[in-house]
Amino acid sequence: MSKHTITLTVNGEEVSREVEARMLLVHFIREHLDLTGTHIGCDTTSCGACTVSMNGAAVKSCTVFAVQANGATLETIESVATNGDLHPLQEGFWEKHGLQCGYCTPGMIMSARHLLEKNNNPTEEEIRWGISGNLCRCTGYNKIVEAIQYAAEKLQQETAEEATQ
Amino acid sequence: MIPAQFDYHSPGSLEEALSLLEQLGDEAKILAGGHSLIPAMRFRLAMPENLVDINGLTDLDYIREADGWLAIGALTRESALEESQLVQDRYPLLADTAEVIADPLVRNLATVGGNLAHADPANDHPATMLAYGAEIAVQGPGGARTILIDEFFTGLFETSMAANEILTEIRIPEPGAGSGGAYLKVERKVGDYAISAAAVQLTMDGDTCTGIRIGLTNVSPSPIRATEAEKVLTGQVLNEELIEVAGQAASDQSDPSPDLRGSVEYKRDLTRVVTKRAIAKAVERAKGAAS
Amino acid sequence: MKVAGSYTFEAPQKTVWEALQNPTVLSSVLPGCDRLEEVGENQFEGELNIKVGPVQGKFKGRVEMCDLNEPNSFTLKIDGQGSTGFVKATAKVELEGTGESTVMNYDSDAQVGGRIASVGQRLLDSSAKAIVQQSLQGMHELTKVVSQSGTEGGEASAAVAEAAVDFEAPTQAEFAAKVAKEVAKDVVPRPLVIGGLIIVVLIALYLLLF
Repeated sequence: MSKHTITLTVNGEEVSREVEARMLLVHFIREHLDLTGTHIGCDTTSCGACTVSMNGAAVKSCTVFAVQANGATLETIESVATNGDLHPLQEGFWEKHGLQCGYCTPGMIMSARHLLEKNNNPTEEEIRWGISGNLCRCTGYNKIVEAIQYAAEKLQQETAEEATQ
Repeated sequence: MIPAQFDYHSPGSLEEALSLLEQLGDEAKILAGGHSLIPAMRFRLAMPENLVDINGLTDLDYIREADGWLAIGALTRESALEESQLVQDRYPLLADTAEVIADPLVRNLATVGGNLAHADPANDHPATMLAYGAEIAVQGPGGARTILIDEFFTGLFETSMAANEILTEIRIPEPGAGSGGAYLKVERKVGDYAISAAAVQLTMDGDTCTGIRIGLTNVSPSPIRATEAEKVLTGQVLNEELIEVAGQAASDQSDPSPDLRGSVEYKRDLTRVVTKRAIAKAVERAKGAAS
Repeated sequence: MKVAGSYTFEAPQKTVWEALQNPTVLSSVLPGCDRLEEVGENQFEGELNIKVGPVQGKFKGRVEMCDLNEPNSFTLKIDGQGSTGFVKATAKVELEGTGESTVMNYDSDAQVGGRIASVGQRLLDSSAKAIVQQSLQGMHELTKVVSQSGTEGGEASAAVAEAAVDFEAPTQAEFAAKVAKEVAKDVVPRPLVIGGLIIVVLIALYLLLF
């Protein structure tokens, strides 16, 4: 029954909206903010297609109420490319054919980004572990893992290049 | 489905949260990580009229060792346990457990306090805390009190906490020399609940087991200690045959319900196996840590 | 799914049997019972609001007693619906009395469907056991008191009331007290409380299964 005005930073911009307490964060993102890159793939908190970054951590936005995000910093898949340039992860998914239908992909990328921020040189096992909260029905995961390995390498190269400049 | 309507409260302090619970009574639920409650609400299987969101009580988020105890704040996220070097080094049973709770995304929000207070027999921490002989600190309108873990779980989804109390801290006694522990969980797929799992914490003196506690996950309506298995091993020189007997004792003491994860017979036998293997791993670690 | 077991009551068989007929007693005893009415001979209709942990549901249903073989056995047919699912169950109840105590054997087959059956599948069995245990324990405490009080009428009711207030079912402290109040009000003779238990168990099962 309660309605609340929430104010949060989404992809770098401050937004303020009135929502019912029961509105899920994923619905808020998709319906109030028109950011439909975040997907709803299940009803059971299993698939991870709804993964976003909240206060720096990758979370399943279908299992968070929008009111809980009051004052938070939110990043969705729409924030991953910068000025139209693909992030190494997005490039990796392209180069390595890490997607078929693309439904799980935004969630995969958000989880992978969080993984690479914490561990910039993950082993294959660490990658598989790191994305174990995201389900894919198309690819069998191997190409997704390769895409993330591609991105990890590219990010390390970029960091090395920046260091020498 | 969309959850049923409710009133949302976001207290800024423990006192405020307690007074809200007192005020709202039965129709209020605490919201911490929310990864057991919100899925139930999305199916309208749970429809609390009020949610008291305690995520603002950030001073309940800590992991620290002091005075012979590891103190974990109730709001500590599972991912923090996973990433804690202190836990990895000195509390391997806890590290084993934190890693296999659900998946990495859930672990970023799920809390240790919530895992215990929810008292789902399928949750992983209960067995581990039973194996550690932990203590649970709760706070109510009457003040703070400590509940011994052996008295904490009282039934299916039930604890000995009162409805107006909030779990604030979990305390694990610092393991002494010759201690070892392990958690072994078998699940159908990554992120699932256990088909069966065993938590073992023991102390060895050479080849003799001087003390052991075993907790079992998801093979009884309420988390249990495999006390019969403990009796088999306490004070004894451990060998494969004896550990097999202990495994069987744990299996006999379990009371699993049949479901999609397995039949009673399968779960019972799996309990025997995970108990055996967890004991063996704990012994290995204890011998490695003997100092 | 199958729910079966046995329970011993400290009361003679005839009184256990006789107790089955009073919906007032039953409605006080059933956890979360909002209504239970006799709508025909050996037919009851009721509404229950049951809670297991954070999960709760409201259910409407019919319970029919048939194959009555007084005072030894009967069959219960249960048909219930709630917003979370439905249940159809058949339960056979047998009483074996020896002097001052009666063993009740129950054996039921239940079909559960709907959301609770799919989402809650892993909890159906243990929840059924938990509610059965609570109901049986609650009823047993009350029947022991009534049996031991050795009197009829007001004194028996008062004894039950006292026992019910002191006794606390793990999740449903209230229903025990309510039983006491209802029983005291109706000045119900002791046997009725016992019989209520049997129906409670089975209805609670169906409830629990939603």
